[in-house]
Amino acid sequence: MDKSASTALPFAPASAASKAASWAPALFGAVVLAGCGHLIIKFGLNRIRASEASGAAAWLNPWLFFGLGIYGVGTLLWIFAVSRKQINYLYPITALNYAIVAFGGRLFFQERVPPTRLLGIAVVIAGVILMQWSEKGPSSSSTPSQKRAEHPPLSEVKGNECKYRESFS
Amino acid sequence: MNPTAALWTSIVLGGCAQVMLRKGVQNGNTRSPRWWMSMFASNWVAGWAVCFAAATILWMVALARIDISYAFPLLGSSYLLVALLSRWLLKESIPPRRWLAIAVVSVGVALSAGK
Repeated sequence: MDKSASTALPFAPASAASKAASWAPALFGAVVLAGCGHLIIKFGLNRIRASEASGAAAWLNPWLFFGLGIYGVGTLLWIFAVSRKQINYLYPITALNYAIVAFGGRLFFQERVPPTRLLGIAVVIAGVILMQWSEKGPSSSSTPSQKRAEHPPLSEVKGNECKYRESFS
Repeated sequence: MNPTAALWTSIVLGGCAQVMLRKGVQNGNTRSPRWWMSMFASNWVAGWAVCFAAATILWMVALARIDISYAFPLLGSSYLLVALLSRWLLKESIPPRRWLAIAVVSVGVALSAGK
């Protein structure tokens, strides 16, 4: 793998300081886009159900493909986040999807959100807040090599290159 | 296929998929477009794609016959599964506070199917 290939991707921030924590906006984007993708797919499926068209023609609904595309972009952001942060930290945060989808379902499709579900969503949000708290605790210290992989010293980050990362093999 | 077996297989495959993705992309050079192109050649990333697709199909198979209020409490266990697998296979460190956070999220997801 050619390490000199350093053309920046749109969602890869250029500054060294923001690079260390760039998994955070990627994670946020992944969760929001996955939620929006689900809602747009639902909108497309509703349109298909309501339309007179049948068979293959009905499934060629632009909203359906738009929703799948948004979900796909969310997946790319997810891969980006996973490449930079522990999976046991990132994965539980994706449960925020249930909050986004429930909120969107209520807003756009007039779906009822029953009290127990509302409680569940509140508990998920509390869990994600606890997850942030777990980062700050004295016991959260990971091994030096892991710390390094997540937050490389600025001295190792030069310009637009990313030399601290091993090339993919 | 027995719907309960489909549900459990879906949860286990989904958990394994995320751990495989982490294995495949950790330390990847995400700033290089070439890395993104070659990423899917990795067996781990291919494993993620296959397991994720299989988990999604099995989830739909299960939900066609099982009530969502039964499926979601089981889905909550996937967060615990990913934590255990990441600790076991990837040697990721999990501080005590994070175990608590993972447990709270799992309970929240289990409740989210509530009526």
